[in-house]
Amino acid sequence: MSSIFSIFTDTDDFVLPNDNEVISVIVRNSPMAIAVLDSKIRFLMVSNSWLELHNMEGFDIIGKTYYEVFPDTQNMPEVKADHLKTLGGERMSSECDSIEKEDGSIQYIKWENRPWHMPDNKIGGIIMSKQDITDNILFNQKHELERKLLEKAERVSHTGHWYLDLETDEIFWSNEIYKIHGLDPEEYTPEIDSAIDAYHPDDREKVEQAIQGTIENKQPFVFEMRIIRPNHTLRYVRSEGEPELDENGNVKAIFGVFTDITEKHLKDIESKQNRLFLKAVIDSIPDAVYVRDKNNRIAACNSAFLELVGNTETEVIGNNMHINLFEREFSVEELDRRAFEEGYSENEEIVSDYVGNTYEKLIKRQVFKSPQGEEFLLCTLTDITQTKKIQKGLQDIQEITSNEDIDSLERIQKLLEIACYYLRMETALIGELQGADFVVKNFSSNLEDDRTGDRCCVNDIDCCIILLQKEQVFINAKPSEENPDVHPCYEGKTVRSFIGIPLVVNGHIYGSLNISNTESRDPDFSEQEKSFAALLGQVISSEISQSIYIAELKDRERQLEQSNEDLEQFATTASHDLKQPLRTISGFMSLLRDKYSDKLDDEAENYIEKTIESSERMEALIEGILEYARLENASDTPETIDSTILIEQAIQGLIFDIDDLGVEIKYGESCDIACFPEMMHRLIFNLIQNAIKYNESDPPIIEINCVEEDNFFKLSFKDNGIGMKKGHLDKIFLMFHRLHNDQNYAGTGVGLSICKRIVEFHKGRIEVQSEFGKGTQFNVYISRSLLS
Amino acid sequence: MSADILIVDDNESDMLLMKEAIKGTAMQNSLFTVNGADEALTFLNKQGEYKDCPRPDLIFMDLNMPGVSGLELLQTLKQDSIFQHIPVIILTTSADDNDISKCYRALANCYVVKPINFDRFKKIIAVISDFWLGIAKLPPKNA
Repeated sequence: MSSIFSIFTDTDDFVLPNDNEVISVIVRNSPMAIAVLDSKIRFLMVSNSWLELHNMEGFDIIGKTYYEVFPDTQNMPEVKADHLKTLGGERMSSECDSIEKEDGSIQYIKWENRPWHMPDNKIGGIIMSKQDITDNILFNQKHELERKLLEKAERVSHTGHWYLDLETDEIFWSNEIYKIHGLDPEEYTPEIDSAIDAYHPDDREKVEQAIQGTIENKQPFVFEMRIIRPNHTLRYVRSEGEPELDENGNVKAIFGVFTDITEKHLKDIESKQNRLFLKAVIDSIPDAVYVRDKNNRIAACNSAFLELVGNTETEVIGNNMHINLFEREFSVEELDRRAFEEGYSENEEIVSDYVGNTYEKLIKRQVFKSPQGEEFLLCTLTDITQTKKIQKGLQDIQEITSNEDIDSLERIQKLLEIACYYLRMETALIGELQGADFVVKNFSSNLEDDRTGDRCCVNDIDCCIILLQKEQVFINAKPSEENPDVHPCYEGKTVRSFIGIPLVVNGHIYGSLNISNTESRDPDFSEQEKSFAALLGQVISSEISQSIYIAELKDRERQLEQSNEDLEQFATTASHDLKQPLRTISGFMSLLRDKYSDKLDDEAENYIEKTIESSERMEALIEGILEYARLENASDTPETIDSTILIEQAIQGLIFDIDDLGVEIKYGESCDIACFPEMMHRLIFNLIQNAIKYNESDPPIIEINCVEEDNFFKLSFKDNGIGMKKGHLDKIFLMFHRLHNDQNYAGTGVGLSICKRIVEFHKGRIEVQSEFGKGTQFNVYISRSLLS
Repeated sequence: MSADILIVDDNESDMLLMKEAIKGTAMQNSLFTVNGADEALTFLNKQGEYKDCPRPDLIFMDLNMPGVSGLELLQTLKQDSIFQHIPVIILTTSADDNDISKCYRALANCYVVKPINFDRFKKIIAVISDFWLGIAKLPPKNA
């Protein structure tokens, strides 16, 4: 405020100079807008500024009343009333009156009306002072707005500012700074010493160093630190500051800004954790995984992939990685490109790593879109080397178990070799539980000598406990661990990895399949290997069960053979022992007849003859039994032979009868038949012999046919013999059954029984058709599958 | 010409019939009989009661005998340089193929199945004697 204005405003006891002219000049030139009015509210003096303020430059208003100058006020009684109040000694004022100007803009006026006193102390009139405060008001309004905006900005951006006056050590905090600190501006005033306590103890040194550094180096600072609020919550704050220099270039103050970055910080931590989490997830996938972009560049990959290609992540990302395929004319890149077009692909390839080791991999490719809509190809390489190996192992098992050329024992031996090979173990054995003993039955090892037959006590074997519980066991003992050794079968041998599979045969524990290695195993047995071992156990169990069955079968067969041999031996011995007395009877009868014929009458000689004949018939019967018993001669092996040859051989044996009787033999069709030739010869011989024997025709005619019919060879023998009555047909194949007595037709009743037996031995049947007095036909069917 | 024939048979009746059959032949033969393989060896080695007996020109032998069987005796004789040249005729009840082939493998000179019919038996013996002692030339006694 100017000093002149204070003349009028600050001193009540001012006495107007006598020289009115002088005063008038002074007033006129006052920079203040002043008007002096008399008690009749007429203008006495007025400053140019007043006129200016009222837009009345050049107007002569002296001597005119206020109401004449401002005609509007004539209708405003409150104005007059105010004037009267002032004339009564009262000061009237307004800090800010707004007046709408003619151009529509608002003018802000600060005014004061006060009385002035005559020398006699009577009130002479009114002094009006006015001040245009429009600029001030507008400035203040603007300032207020800016302040509010700043506050808002600070609130929204979680940024506050502070000011440290180094000369006074005073600190100013903006509202937001209080907020960030969790403090109330009403209750707390920051002080340079206590302010530091708000920081996290670990960060205080950093803060002090930053402030100190700025003071010394006059450089701005930026750092992040933590603030602990009175309620013990933690805020992450980014602090920036810059020095203010005095005229000497020394730092006099520091202006700083705090930004609460807690949320961002937490988000960063979270997103970083998320990223790390995802990375950990894909790195923990055992498959090699990589992602290609449209330009064939690797966009992402996991550690298994890096291991495969032998590069670091930075070397791989953004590049077109080459993956080596084994013996292929196309590359992985080519397959990937194709998959990009097709959306999905899957194939098995042998992939070699950067060192040259090869693995069988299942490569799956899937196109996917990123959140931004960009297309990528996700490729996974799953190692199927072991799967393939196990598959091959399963195939081998299949081949071995279906191999009929080798016996069970050999198959089991091969299965043990497979166990060693595919499970990468040194020794595999099968032990049988025999009472309290564990006996090695089969053994395969690329480490030790054959231990087949080794026997030890069950109590000495760890795995036997498992056996008794019918459980599988997989042990993989690391050398460093305590008591790592198991002794699955015998003392004194270190075994670090071990598989024990109980062998259950016919519902009972037979023993176990033990597969062992002197080294521990890394990685441990896979699930695939475990099930492979279990499967081997099952297969071996069934082999053992089969071998037991076959052994039993063989035993039975041998017993049967023995009993057959016994029977044949019996027949041979019996017939010999029977024949000898017969021969003696017959012999001595003959001697009696020859030597004493002169002493015997005809009747006696007849008796002797009958005795001799009976002896001979008895001999024929015995021979028949013997022949029947010897039918299945072990030396007779089946072969394919022309039926004509068989028939001619039989005819040769009967050539005398045939010639004597003029028998006519008609050959019909013939074919190659599979049979036991000696038996078949006997069959044909017997049937032709019968056809000749029981025949009265002249000439006897026999028709022989041999054809293939369905699953049989059919041989038919048709004669023009005496035939048989219907009622007899079903009895003719019975042993010793005869239709005729010796007087008419000599015979034993064994021939057709033998024929029937031979046919049955050939898995066939014999049929007879006959008409009494006309002839007989025998049809023989023998199986065609005899040789197969 | 007189020949010395040794008959090895455990059965007395058979032996008797055999003797009768041989007697019926025209040859003048000396017949010696033993009832088993052991006794046959004693005879051949001229031991004990047989010390003055001659070495036979022909041997008839049964197969089924108690103790050492005919086949075993045959094998012994045929492996012994002193006796292997003597013709051995197997005369047996057995018509078993196995027996037949075993005997020939053991170098039997002939295998004949004894028929039940005595007339036929006599004929067979006659034929054999006729062949071995008449037609065939045998090695000299001291061979």
